[in-house]
Amino acid sequence: MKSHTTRAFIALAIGGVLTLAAFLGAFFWAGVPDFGFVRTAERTDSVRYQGPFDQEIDEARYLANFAGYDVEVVAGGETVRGDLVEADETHVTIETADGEVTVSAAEFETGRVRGSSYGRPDWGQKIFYFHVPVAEISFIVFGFAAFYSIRFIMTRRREYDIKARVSMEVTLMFVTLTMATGILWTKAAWGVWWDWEPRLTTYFIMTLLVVAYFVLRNSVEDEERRAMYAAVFSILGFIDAPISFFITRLIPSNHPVIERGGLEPPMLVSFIVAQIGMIALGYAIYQLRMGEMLLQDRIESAKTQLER
Amino acid sequence: MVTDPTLKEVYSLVLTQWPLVAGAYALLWTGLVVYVGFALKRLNGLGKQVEVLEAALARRSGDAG
Repeated sequence: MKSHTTRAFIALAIGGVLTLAAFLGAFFWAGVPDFGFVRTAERTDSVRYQGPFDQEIDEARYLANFAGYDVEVVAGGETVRGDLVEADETHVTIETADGEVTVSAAEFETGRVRGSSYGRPDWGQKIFYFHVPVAEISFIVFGFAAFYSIRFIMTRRREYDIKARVSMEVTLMFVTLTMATGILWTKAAWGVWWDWEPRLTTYFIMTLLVVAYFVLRNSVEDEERRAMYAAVFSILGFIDAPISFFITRLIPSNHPVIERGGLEPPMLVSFIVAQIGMIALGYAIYQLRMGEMLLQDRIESAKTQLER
Repeated sequence: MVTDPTLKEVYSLVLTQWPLVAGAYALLWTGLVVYVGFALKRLNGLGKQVEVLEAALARRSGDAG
């Protein structure tokens, strides 16, 4: 038990330092990528300035969102240029050098809007630094659970059942964290809490499978049958993990995919450090739970001996 | 504090993402810390139980000897 606890504390310390470093790197070193752009009438000095825009408008009502912008309207054969005061489906009012001019929407022929484009900062991307490592750990630990289950079926040794069960507990923990951070990211990026797209759907199925594993364990009383059923279930359940992981690369999906060279160095370094840190934390949690299981075994054995 | 009106307009369109980012990190760290905290507490309790039981076993084997 001591060795499990010692390993857990070392991994906790390493994981804690690395995830803290990754957090600081993600928020104070890595930049914020742009997520589309924002149009404004004015230009200011900004790293987010993308350049001027010059857009043609074919109906007066489309000018409604451009109050304050530099506009040019051709109506009744005449051209009016100035700052747009207001526009709707009936008229367009423009502040020119000679005062306000109102043009009827019926006479409106064509118009232009001029302004500046700025990158729209995607703050929600900050969730990615930890959401992705946590999801990766859930796949990896699920893989370990399946591996220990295979070992159990081959050897029928109880220690593999315990290892598989503890691995599934760690998987459940990380699956829950992945779902929680993922739902918040989905709201930030897509504006909805959930979308039945391939990655989310297959991951949701994986979550249900992990929960079902524990339901199955709790519903079988006989220890050997329980271990065997759980082992078979976790091996079959694991089939969903690679499907969920690779599905975004196989069929059209809204879920982002990290591409080679797709991250700037500060982002990439923070992301890699977060991944290593999360692996250490996952390992620490596994060792803590294993230590706990071994202690419970010792308690059971001591109680049995005392009852004799 | 952003004072430039244009940047204010730019940022006002995206600041709604902040509570979601803060929420995601709060859930993540709270989840991990609480889980590890409970595991350590349980481990500590089990360690004490083992000490008591094994001491009792040792006493009994001492009495028998």
